[in-house]
Amino acid sequence: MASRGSLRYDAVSVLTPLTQCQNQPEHMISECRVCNEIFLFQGDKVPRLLTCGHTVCHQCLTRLPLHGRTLLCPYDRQPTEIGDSGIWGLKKNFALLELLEKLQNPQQTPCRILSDSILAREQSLSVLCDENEQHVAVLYCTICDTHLCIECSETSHSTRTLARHKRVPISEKPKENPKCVYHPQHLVEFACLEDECKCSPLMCYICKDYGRHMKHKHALLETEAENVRSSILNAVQHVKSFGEEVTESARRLHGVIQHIEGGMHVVPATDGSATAQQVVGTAEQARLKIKQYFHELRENLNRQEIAALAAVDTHIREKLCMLRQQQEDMAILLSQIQAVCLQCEATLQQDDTKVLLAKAEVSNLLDTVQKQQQQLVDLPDQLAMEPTIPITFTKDNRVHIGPKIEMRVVTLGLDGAGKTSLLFKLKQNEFVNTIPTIGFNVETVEYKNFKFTIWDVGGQHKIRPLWKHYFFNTQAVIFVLDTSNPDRVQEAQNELMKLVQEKELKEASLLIFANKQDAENHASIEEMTEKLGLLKMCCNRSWHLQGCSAKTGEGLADGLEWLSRQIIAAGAPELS
Amino acid sequence: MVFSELIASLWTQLLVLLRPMLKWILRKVTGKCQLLRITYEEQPGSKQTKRIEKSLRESKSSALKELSRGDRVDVDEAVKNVIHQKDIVVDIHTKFEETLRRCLTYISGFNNLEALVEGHRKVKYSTANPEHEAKLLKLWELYKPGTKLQSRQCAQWGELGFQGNDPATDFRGMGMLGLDQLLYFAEKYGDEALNALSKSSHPKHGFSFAIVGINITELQYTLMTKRKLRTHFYNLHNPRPSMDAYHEVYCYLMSEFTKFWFKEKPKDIMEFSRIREKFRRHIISLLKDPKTTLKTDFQQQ
Repeated sequence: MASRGSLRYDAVSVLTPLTQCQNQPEHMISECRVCNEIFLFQGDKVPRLLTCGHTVCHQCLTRLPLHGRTLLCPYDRQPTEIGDSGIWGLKKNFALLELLEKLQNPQQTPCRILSDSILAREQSLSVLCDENEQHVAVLYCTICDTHLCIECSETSHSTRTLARHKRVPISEKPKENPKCVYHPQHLVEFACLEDECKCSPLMCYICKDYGRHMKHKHALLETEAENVRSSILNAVQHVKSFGEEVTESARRLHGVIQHIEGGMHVVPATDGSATAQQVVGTAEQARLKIKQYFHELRENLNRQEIAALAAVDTHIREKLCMLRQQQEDMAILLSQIQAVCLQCEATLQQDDTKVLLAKAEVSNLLDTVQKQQQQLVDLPDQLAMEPTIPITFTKDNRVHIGPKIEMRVVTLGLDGAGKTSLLFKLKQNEFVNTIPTIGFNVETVEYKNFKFTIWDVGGQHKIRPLWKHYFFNTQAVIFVLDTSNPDRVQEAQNELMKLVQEKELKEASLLIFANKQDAENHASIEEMTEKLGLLKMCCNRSWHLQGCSAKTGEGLADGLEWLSRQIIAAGAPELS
Repeated sequence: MVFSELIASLWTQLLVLLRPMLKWILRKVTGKCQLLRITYEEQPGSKQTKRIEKSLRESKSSALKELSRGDRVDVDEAVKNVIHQKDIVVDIHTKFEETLRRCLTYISGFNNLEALVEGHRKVKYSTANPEHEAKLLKLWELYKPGTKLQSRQCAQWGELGFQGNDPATDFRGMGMLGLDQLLYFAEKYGDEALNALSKSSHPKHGFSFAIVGINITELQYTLMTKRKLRTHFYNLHNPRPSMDAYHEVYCYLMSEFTKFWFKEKPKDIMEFSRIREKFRRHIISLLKDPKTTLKTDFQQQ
């Protein structure tokens, strides 16, 4: 109803401006003498008649004091009886109202109100005139429910009563609710709010009070429609903002792509002018970075190669120099020895007296030779009689020349994991069924240019607290796992966890031998890594899980190879 | 230093080369072969048997060589052969036949025992074998009388000195030999065995009884395969020792090691390797004395 009301009000406002101007001179007649405000057809300013014949507006009457059940006229103080309905019970001054209406609505000429443009708009709707089918209707009478053209409107509404009918342009024709499906004589006026009636919520007042929707929750059709409209409006707004978001994302995507690809960009300069500028995309930057990295790497490698070669050259030169020196010494020594021999022989051939005289001299010479012989005997230690040039590479690609690099290693693990068997296999390349280790075994194992001193400590539960005594100065820990015994993985993990957290082993490399890979039911390397959570446990340290078998020897050399690579710069003796 | 080594190695090579010549000279001079000479030079005992064994082993004749290594030698037949081969007149050298027979019996007996021991060691402990399982449970009953074992795999085995919850893994190197010897010790000398176990459970200076037992089994096994135990077995009355005679030596070693350990006052179990090695040298030095038999007080009866 509200929307229809507002539409009507609009319709009136379209038609009223001219009449208001015409009514300006008669202003005084239609005023309440008490408040000096214009009487209106309804509401607070309705003129009401007192018994004495005076007319006062409704609002002023409400302000008058009550004397029991009577009101006193503000003009002559005559009492007027008031009933149960109060001031609303007093009769309106219909004569005055009719006069007012006459003054406000003189001969209406709607043709003058509709401009040509509006006329054209209304005609474009092409609704036929109900009076004459030859005509195109432009007006709609809200009272007669008819579509009319301007002439027919004039002719059909020429009488005084009919002329008062409100006529509006067809486009502003109030929309009418359809008829109820079940009660065709009534309009649909309400909407049912019950869930069960979601499919057919429309109803007339008969449906509401006596029919299908009796006692259902309901609302006025207009309010409900308004609700739906506002929710749709909200939804539309929401969708629109979503659309904006999508556009924004697309825009950003475009920006990102551009950023990656690079190319020509218009960049605003400081003085306001814009200049096109070549911008390098991130893709190109990444490529450049990689090129640069590998370039540096190559340069570094080249430098390291040169340094290594130089180191080896120096070493060879020094060694050769020393050897040649010794060669010369030997030659000198040889000539001395020959001289002594000659002298001795000469002395031998002389006669007895001379031999006796030469005795002291000869024994002196022989003493010298003896001393030299002693020196020669002592020499082999210094003499580098070994033609090999043992070379080891450190982690940072430097070269270590010289005697074997020593490394202290501790082998740990649960009892029966195979620590001692591993040690024997490494040492003697022979598989022995060992007995439980009480205390420890220690062996040195040589591998390439390395000499590992391996401490194999017993894994018995009672001994484990004593492991820590072997940590000092240890460069590597070998932890041995039994991959054929899934029941003890948890125990092994606990021990390994303790080792990893050990302060003294912070710098030590951790080689984990997953032993017994020859067993039928062994767990794979990947399984063990996952079961032990190694990736998480051993982050931030150098570690390696190596599958192996002490029985077949498989994997052992790989493990030692890894260990030998762990000798970092600090671990290898400084190159001169 | 270099020279002395060189001279030593030269000397031994020379001896090897000259040995047949020396033997030949001695034979011509004395008119007796080496075996015969030994029977005259030595009194019956481990030293005589050892020398006979050595002579046989170094003999050129493969038949004689065989006698020093065989574990199932027909002694009568062998004696006849030797007498025939060496042309020994039995009527003149009256003692020879008897001495040779005795020595050969001892040698063959020892070799036989070695084979027995090796066979025993090679039997792996198997959890699927009910006989093995029964033996293991009996071990618990003997060493822990009155205490009930909670289950076959449990932490209680630690009280006996095994490493983990399942003792089966600890028998890996020595097989059933390790278990049998621990059992024999407790069966034969219950008091001694329980005494050793209770001493070993000293909280600070103690050791893990069972795995030390297995280590001693290995120590004895090595002494056996290196033929160091000949002194003992060649001095026994019975020239054909049984497994029980072998286990007797184990009982001796276990009880002696327990005493030895506490005499050394070790700081902790980490000194085991050192003390074990010292004990081994001690036993070897004892075995160098030809009169030694490895027996202690409680074994005399």
